[in-house]
Amino acid sequence: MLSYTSETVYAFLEGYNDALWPAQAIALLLGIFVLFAALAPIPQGGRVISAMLAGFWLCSGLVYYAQYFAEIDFSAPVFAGFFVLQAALLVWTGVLRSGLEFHIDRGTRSIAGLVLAAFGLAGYTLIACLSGQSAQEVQMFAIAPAPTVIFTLGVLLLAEPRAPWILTIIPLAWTAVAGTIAWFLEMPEDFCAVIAGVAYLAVIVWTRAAGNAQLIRNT
Amino acid sequence: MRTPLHLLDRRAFLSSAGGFALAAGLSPRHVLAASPQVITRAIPSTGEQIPAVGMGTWITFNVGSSAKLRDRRVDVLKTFFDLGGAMVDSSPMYGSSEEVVGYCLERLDNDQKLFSATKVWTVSEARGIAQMEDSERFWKAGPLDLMQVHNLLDWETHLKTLAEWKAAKRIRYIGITTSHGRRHEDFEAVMTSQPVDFVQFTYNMIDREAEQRLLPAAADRGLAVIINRPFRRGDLFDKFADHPLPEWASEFGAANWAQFFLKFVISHPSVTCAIPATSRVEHMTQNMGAANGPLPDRAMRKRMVQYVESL
Repeated sequence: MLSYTSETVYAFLEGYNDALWPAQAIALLLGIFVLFAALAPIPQGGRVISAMLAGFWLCSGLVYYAQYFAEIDFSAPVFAGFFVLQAALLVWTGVLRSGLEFHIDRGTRSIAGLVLAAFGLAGYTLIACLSGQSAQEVQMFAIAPAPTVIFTLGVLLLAEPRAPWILTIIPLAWTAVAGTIAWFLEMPEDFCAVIAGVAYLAVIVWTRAAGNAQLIRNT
Repeated sequence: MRTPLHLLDRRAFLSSAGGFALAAGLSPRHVLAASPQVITRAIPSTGEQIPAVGMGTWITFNVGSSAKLRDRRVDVLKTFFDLGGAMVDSSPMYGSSEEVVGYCLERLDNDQKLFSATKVWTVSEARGIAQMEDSERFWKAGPLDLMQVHNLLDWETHLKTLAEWKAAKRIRYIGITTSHGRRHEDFEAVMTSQPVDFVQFTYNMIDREAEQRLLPAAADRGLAVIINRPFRRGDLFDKFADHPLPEWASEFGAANWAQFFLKFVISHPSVTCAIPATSRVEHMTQNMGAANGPLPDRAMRKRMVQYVESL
């Protein structure tokens, strides 16, 4: 039961992007840095990337949902809570326990992760513009949920060993919710979130199956 | 054919309403300078007349901070008042709708026509009071006319507060609401046992469950009835608007499906006011057209139901 229309969402995004500028540009540079840190490993790279991802989720949760979107959606604080929880999980797993390392190679999981991450950085925004919205009326990476979630799923595919399942629950659940909302509001760009969630799961299942098959061949 | 429930020329309306207002000790603000053709209904607890078609704000006025969208709602609200509307219904649950209505009221000169109806939607006395104070601040229209407990949430707590506020003249009427046909048994229990002036629930050409118990119970108790979802959130248009309006709809002055659906609702003898929501001036014009002219009588209402059920 949504309390708003797509017209209101696009008007909201226009005002939101205007209010936060130039955070979008800074966020984009930070996102590119995350990918470079995975490509050419830096000291404590796992901790740095995890902390940056946590920062993106905190921004989307506390700024986008709690501070701004709550004006038009009474359930926004609930989403803010889940985004803060995801940030906490990233800090706990990747920073405090140092349990995540990221790198990019030529493997399937890695390439898929890079494609998803790049899509979250810029592809989502491009699709939204091609759907008819102006650049000001779309969600932007790190300051809004859709591209942030997609980017995170991509970066989690770059984790070695695989990212713990606990870090994937909230992002995947969000893609399902976003897809439902996209269907009701007829906002085609948000179907990209569903596709990203499905792609993530498909890659995990496929690489796991391929890994098991290799194990069998080796024994 | 049933004649309109209340059709007075302007002078007769003002003198009777004004006389009643003086007798009831009401301020002149509450004498509605409605268009003389607008169908009005009496609020049973006081006899105050209000136009039978009001306005809801669920989704339609939840436009956040966008000045562009807010200004379009000013036009919608202005059309509403110009065509004789008075009751504007909102709620804190509707996002920014209350605030946007307040924005619109500030930009319109004729807020005297307003019959403000909003809701308290939270748990606990303190949160309820804070929420209602927010509503007062948003609408700045003097005492709020009607405060309702939204969807019966923590009604035991809030009805006590509302009784205190009514005694202190911070609100004029108390109400309770439900929608989508939910919790009708609980709702009936509260409306028949608690001192409320208004009840609000769903009733339309498809969802007619309220005819069985709630509408008769409201009449028995002398409660004013506000009807939400008279178009079933647009579903009725999706289902029927592609079909031709029957020719006999002109007998009760329905020129389009909106007026067909609304006249069905407000022609029920227990209904005080229906509150369709719209964000478009042209739809508001159509809706307010239902508040004019004749209304279908019982036989015609039956014929209307049979017609839509045959489609």
